[in-house]
Amino acid sequence: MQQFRRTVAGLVALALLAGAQAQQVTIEFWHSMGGVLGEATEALVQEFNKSQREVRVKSQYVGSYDDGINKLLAALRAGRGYPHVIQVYDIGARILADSGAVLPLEDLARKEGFDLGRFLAQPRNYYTVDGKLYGLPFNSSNPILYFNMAAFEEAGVAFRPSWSLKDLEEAARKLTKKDAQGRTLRYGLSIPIDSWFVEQISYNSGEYFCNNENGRKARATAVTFDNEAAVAFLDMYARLVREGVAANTGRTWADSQSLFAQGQAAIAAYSTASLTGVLRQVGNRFPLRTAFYPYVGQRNGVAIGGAALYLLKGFPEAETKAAWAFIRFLLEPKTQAKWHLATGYFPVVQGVTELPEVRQAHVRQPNYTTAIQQLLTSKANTASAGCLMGAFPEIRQYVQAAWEETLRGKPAREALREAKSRADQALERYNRSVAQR
Amino acid sequence: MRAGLEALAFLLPAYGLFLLFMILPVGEALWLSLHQEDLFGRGREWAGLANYGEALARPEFWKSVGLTLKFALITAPLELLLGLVAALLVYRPYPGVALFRTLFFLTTAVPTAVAAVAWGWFLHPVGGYANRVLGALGLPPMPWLTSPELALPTLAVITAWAGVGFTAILLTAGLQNIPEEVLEAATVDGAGPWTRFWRITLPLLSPTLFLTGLLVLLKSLTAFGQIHLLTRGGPAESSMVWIYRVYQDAFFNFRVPLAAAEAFLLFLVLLALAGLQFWLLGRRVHYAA
Repeated sequence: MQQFRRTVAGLVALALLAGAQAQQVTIEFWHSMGGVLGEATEALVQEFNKSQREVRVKSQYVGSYDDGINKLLAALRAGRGYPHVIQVYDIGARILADSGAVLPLEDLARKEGFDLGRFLAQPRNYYTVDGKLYGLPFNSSNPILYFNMAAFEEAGVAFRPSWSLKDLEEAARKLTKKDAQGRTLRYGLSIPIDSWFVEQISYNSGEYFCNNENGRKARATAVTFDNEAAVAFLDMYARLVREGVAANTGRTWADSQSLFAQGQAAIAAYSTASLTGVLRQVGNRFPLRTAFYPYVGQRNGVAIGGAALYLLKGFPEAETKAAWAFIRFLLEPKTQAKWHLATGYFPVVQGVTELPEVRQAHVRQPNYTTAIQQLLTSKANTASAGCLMGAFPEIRQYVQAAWEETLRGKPAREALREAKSRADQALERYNRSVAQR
Repeated sequence: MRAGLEALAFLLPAYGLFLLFMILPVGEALWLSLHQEDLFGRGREWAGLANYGEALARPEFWKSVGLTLKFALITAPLELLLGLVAALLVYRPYPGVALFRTLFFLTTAVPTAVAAVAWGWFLHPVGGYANRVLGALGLPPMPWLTSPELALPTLAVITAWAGVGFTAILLTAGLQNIPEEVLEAATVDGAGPWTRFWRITLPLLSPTLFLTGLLVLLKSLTAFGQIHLLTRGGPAESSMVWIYRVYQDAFFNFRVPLAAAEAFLLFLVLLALAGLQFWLLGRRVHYAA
């Protein structure tokens, strides 16, 4: 009898366990956050999993942004194997909306009663395609200037929070140190060869990167990256490289960052998301300050960069609900605060900067406020909404090649015009291919 | 008959894997290259040879073919020469030879990714060791990987360096196969080391040298990892070799069928070179018999 009872008790316990297991919904989450950023992402996932029993998020690092979107496209092509939630870079916004495979976040938010007005304007504008918010602006960044203040003091250059491109050029010259043979000991400026900086100088100067007001009024059909701001920026950089004032460290951000961290470049431009890493690299070598990204003419405002989380269609109702629960968790001010402080990405919903832990951290390390201040003082218009177009990954390659051509001596206008003809072809082909289906 | 069946049973797993991972993907790529579809794989339709026509009509494609040729023409001879020097140093036993053999082979044992990252540091445009050495000698720093003129040759040298161990092993085997008597006879006839090398060793080694050269050429046509990690086809597309163009078209430009056509064209070139190699190998076997 005793034996029997024990068996029954065991069976009941097993059944209960199985029941609990059956109720728990598991969702797949693919992300592209490596290093410091990856640790912070995993921490959030674990916290979410611990905070409740209904949903378990299985996260997977799928390589770089480029790898991530390609894995998604391959899965879509195969018609299976894609995750519930995927992180895709900023410039994938048009592509994901065109895929028809994504559940617009706006539809879900309305259904679940989440007020979209809680989003800050720029992140929301950026991921709004054809009037609808598609992705959750999870990790949002913008470009900022990094200053080596020891070099500034030595050269007698005063700190300012906002810089025109002209003033920046002058400062870079003053900050450059050369030896008797004219070899550069310390560069004034170092910016990695990345199309993103050309895009941002356009937006911040009130110019568009692609037509139809950055593809916000209608689908973009041609690029406009041969605008005055982009031309001025590339010509300036090439000129400074020739003078030995700016460094050419190629396309790899890490190669520029090591230069800056070792004190061999006085000014640099990176993302806000680089802040935690750069601060670590610099250590106590010199005091570091950050400032707004430069502009030509009048400062308009930068667009956001980074990536968004998308929910994919084709899953049972319960799983989509579970995925939404995860998204909802990420939008909590508390979660946003943790994410912001661990990475340097800024919060995308209101009411985060007022939290005590964020305020204290900002007092300790005021550099974390630069990105937020830059965002809040940016004009919210179609220029600062950022360019929305298909074929963006391909087009970025052409912009970078044009930048490299200017370093070879080609005038920026000419290099950008040549790149434009290739980019326009790519865009036209993309538009034709998605319209055909 | 029974033995044949038995042998087949043992070979089947290997054949199965070969079919699954080699033949099928090649077939799939060929199939894909004959179709047209959008980037999400929708609306796939028969395109015949249109993708091949487009690939061959693009000036970018021919630029990539030219760069690949240039890359191979620097890599292959350099790797062969370095491998030959290394093999000559270690093919005869002497105290400590194992240490040198290991050292030479080490470059091949290092994974491409690790080697590429190390070279990246070594050649950093400002703080890299290479440029600091130049600085100490009073020479200006070189933009090893950041100038369109230097990037491809630099990558070729790195590739040759990474392959030295491989060529050294093949050539060591070749050198060890040269009959000792012939060399002795030459010595008796009064030939010095220089004459022996040019008149005896090199001619007798030439079949091995030629085959190794073909292998090295094949490898250099498909070099990808170091290019991906160090220059990504840049600066200004100066290192956009054939295989990197395929990668770019497939995974950045999302034009998978076009990329499949370009990949298949490369496959045909590699196949022709491999065929040449087999043909030569066959001829050599006949000599020996």
